[in-house]
Amino acid sequence: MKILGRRLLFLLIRTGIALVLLMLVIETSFGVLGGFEEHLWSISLSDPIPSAFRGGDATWREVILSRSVQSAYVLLLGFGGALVVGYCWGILAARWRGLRFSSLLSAPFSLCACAPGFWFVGVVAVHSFFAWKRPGFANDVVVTTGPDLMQWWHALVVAAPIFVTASSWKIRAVSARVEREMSEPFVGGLVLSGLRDDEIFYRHVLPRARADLAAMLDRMLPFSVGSLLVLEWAFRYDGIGSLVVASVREASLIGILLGGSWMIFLLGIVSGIRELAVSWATER
Amino acid sequence: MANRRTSKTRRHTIGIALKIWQLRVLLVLVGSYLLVFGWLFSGSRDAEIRVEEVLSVPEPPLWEPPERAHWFGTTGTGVDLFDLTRRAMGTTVANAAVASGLGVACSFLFVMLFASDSARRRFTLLQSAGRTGFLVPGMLVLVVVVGGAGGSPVIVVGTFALLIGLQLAPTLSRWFEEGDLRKDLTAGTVLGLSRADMMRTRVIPAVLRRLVGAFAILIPVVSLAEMALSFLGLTGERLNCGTIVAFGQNTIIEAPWMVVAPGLLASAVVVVLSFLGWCTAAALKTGTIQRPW
Repeated sequence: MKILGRRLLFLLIRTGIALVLLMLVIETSFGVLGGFEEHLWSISLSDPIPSAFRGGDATWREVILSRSVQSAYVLLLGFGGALVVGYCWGILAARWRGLRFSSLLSAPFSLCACAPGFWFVGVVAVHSFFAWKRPGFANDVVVTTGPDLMQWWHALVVAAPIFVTASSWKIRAVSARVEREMSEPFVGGLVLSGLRDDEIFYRHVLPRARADLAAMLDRMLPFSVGSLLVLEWAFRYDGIGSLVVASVREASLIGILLGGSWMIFLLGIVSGIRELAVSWATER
Repeated sequence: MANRRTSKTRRHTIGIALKIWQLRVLLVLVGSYLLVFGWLFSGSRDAEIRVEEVLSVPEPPLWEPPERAHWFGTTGTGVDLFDLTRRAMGTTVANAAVASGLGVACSFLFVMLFASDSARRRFTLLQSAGRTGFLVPGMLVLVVVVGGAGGSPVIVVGTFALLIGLQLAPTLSRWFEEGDLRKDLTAGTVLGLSRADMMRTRVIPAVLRRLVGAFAILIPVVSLAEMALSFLGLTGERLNCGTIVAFGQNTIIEAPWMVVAPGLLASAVVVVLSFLGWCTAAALKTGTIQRPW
């Protein structure tokens, strides 16, 4: 418990340092390299919101809240789906490692991950327009009555490239970790003592790899959060990613700072959950 | 009785054939890279191409849909889209190769600052910095720096290099730590070799070999990110696959091939480079590296 507390404290400090780093990056790129006259110390939350990305919101708080919800949908589908598929398929691949399942299972994902994500959402927009006679981009349709299923569809389109790339890495990483455990000498001893393959794998190998598997919980989250910038902009999806890109294009420092801080806090929170999971897995 | 000794010429021929057989994987990989790069960089460069002019849509537009003469169709000004995309990919891959090379070199320099220390926990500071850097998405840094500083090629390549250098450093430090555990180093210590000698003759060559694999893996990853930055309109008016797709999005109803076709070629090039990267990394036993963004 003491170790967990210390780790969480360090995580809090690291999150603070990451925020300072972000400010340093913004100030260096805009103030020093870009020669802008506006500086971080001269901005405030009461600054007017550029009309390019205001939508129907009047304050920065409303802008961030509404866009956080939109981006949360995407991350839930993209990163959450990659976690489920990555762990399940990775463990399955390790279980059947003699059949080279790891490569087979991750190959389709790895191949799809080579396509630029912004191009993929563009292609979906084209297909949506020509095949289904629906508006191609997310900002072209507003659902006024009934359940907003289009919201989930739009989030799914943006999440698909994130899901594919994160899954391909996750499957390989999980299967590699479990396979390493399976090549430990104790497995040979258990085979000689007459235990069945299933029993060795599920009762001995997996529990021993549990802590390391928990430690890779958030490994692809920085990539997933970073991808929001490009994918949301490509699909004209009003999330935090498109807010940051619009802010960069409009040189709105407060928009960049708020959007970037949101991303860092999210990463910090998930890292905290990772620490809890590792602690739980180690104690058991 | 016949002379059974093999002739000198035959011995040499067999020796050369054996050497070629030993280097077969390397030769195939180098040949494949040369083929891909040769195809991408053949013909005139894009210095004379003005992106705004080429991708503009005059009235009436001169575009043609994909057909036998123009596989990918043509742009609004009648320029062949396949050739334009190939040139754009050439620029992207060249930038990616330079950025990856510089990034890997930066990373090696960062780690070498700590590597000569003999303390067991000499990389703690570096790994701690890596964990902090993990909390700032690399793509966010790229977008802010490139967007804020104007998006010149020097800024783009420099930012990529610095980011790769910082994010690869913890992985490199692990490679150095693994190198310290090698059995031949224990033997060298027993025999009285100095630490500097062992580092120079054993550890560093092994790390450098793995770095070549990391460089090969990074090229397609950087290519994708560079295209993404161009798509966002942050790298100025340079010819790039991302810029072509971004322009094409404005005409998806009239000319959908302007979005679909360039991405197909870009994906194919990235697939080939990724495959070559994985093969190179497998041949050099690089292992997995953390995706930098």
